[in-house]
Amino acid sequence: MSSREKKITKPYIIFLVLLFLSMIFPVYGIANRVFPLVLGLPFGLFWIVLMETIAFLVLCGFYRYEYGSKNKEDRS
Amino acid sequence: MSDWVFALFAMLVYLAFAFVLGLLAGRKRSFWSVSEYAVADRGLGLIVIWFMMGGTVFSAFSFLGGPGMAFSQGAAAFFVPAYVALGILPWYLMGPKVGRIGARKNFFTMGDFLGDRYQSKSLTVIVGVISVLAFIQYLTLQIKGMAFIFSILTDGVIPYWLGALLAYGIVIAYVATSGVRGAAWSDVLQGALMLIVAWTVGYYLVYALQGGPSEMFRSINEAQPGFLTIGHEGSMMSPMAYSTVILISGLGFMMWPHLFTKSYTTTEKRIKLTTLAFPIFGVFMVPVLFIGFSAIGVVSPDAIDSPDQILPHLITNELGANGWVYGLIGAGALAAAMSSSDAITHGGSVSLGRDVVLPLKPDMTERTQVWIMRLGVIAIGAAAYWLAIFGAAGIIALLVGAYGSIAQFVPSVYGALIWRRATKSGAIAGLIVGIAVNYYYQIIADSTPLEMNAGFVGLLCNIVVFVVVSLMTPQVPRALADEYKNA
Repeated sequence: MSSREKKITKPYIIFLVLLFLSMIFPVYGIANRVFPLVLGLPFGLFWIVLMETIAFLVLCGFYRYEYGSKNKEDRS
Repeated sequence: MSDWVFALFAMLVYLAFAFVLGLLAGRKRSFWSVSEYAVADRGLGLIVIWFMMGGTVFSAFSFLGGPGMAFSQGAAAFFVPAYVALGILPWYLMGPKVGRIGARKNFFTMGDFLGDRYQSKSLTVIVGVISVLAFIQYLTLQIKGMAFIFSILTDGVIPYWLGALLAYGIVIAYVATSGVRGAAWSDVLQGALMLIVAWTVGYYLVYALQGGPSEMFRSINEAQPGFLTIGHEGSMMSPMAYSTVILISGLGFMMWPHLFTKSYTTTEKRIKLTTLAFPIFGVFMVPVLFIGFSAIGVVSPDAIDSPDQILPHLITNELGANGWVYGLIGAGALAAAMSSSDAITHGGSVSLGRDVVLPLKPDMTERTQVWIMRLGVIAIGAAAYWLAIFGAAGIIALLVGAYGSIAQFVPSVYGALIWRRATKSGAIAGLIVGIAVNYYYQIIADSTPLEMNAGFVGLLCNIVVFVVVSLMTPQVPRALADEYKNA
């Protein structure tokens, strides 16, 4: 395991738990309604799309940290 | 010429392409190597692995079950895009670890992994048997989907049994000859095709039948208040049922042996890049649900025998489109069913050869092992085909049922990677209790405690038994436990 991989383990698990929590009750309760419609989607469905977009961006962050341009010596 | 001729022609062209691509993928590779057959000598490229993971997830469920669920249960169907994205995320940490251990110890299956960590051949066999059974169940529903698409789009000219035989026969041929590479390369074609079709059809139906997404959801909400939310008056699912189905599907996702073993097929960097792209796959699922929502208020629930038929019903009764559109949709739906079937058939054949037959007869040569796996493709294929044509059950119940048992691997797999104290007896006892509880609540009992998902109740019991029994039994050698924990 590279040192950077070790360093991200804890933050990644926290990110994962938060993301799961955002999709289930009780947290999902705040998104559990039809209006406002966003992008034509009921708010409950838009919430899921939003969380997935955020998850994608966060993952890009993790990936960049591990393999990004400043970290050439660690590349495999 | 009638529409069905075009439809049939388009589907046959697609099948021919998939067949040739699948066969070519295995060319110039060593035919007799277990490593090549099972894990492509651990060297699949990024695009291929990406489509393979994605294509496997988009199954017949996407074109039949998913829209059916949206049509009949409303917001409950939101769990589909949610769990697809959540399910793969643990792979970012787990995949590279499993891959490193696998490369060092020459593993090909999940049974190899668990059997070595817990020092138990019986665990390997249990995992192998459960996997093969779950695979057959899962395959059965894909084959039903293929047969259904064929039969309905050709006005019944191609009967149920023949449609299934054509489409699935091709899958069997390229998996048996080209192994994981055949499955992977045909998934690139299938993945691209079904994504295009799902989006085009989803949005087209919404605009044609309902005048756009906003108008559609507004009118659904007016006609059926609560239908588009969870747990409110008029909703089809309780918050507890919804939350636990997401948890069990999300946690259980990577426990599917055909996905788990993909950790062995590629590099760490590619595992991470695949995971990274997956939340976007979840978003890709949204138009699939549109197909089902667009039928609300247009198709009466009594007009179809089961909600799974909603897409074929819309195509034949409401679209009024020409044969080429039929054919394109048919090819897309076939692609979705086939791209799951190939990975599952392949995974099943490897599990059968490696986890079930090999431990019982350990002195087999590599050549014999490869033979058993290739014959396993045909055996598993035949069993699933037979069940699909002569057995009966709803698509979703089948999928969720198989899922419940697979998710019971969660404690053993994560235990192996994070808990030194986890033991063989704990893993086996937990697994058996989890599966028994799951089956009890799924098949025998009428309701579950607090409306929790049956698999989730099983998983809770499983974890308790796993931990308690592990603490009471002697641990595996320290060095071995460390090797897994620190990999």
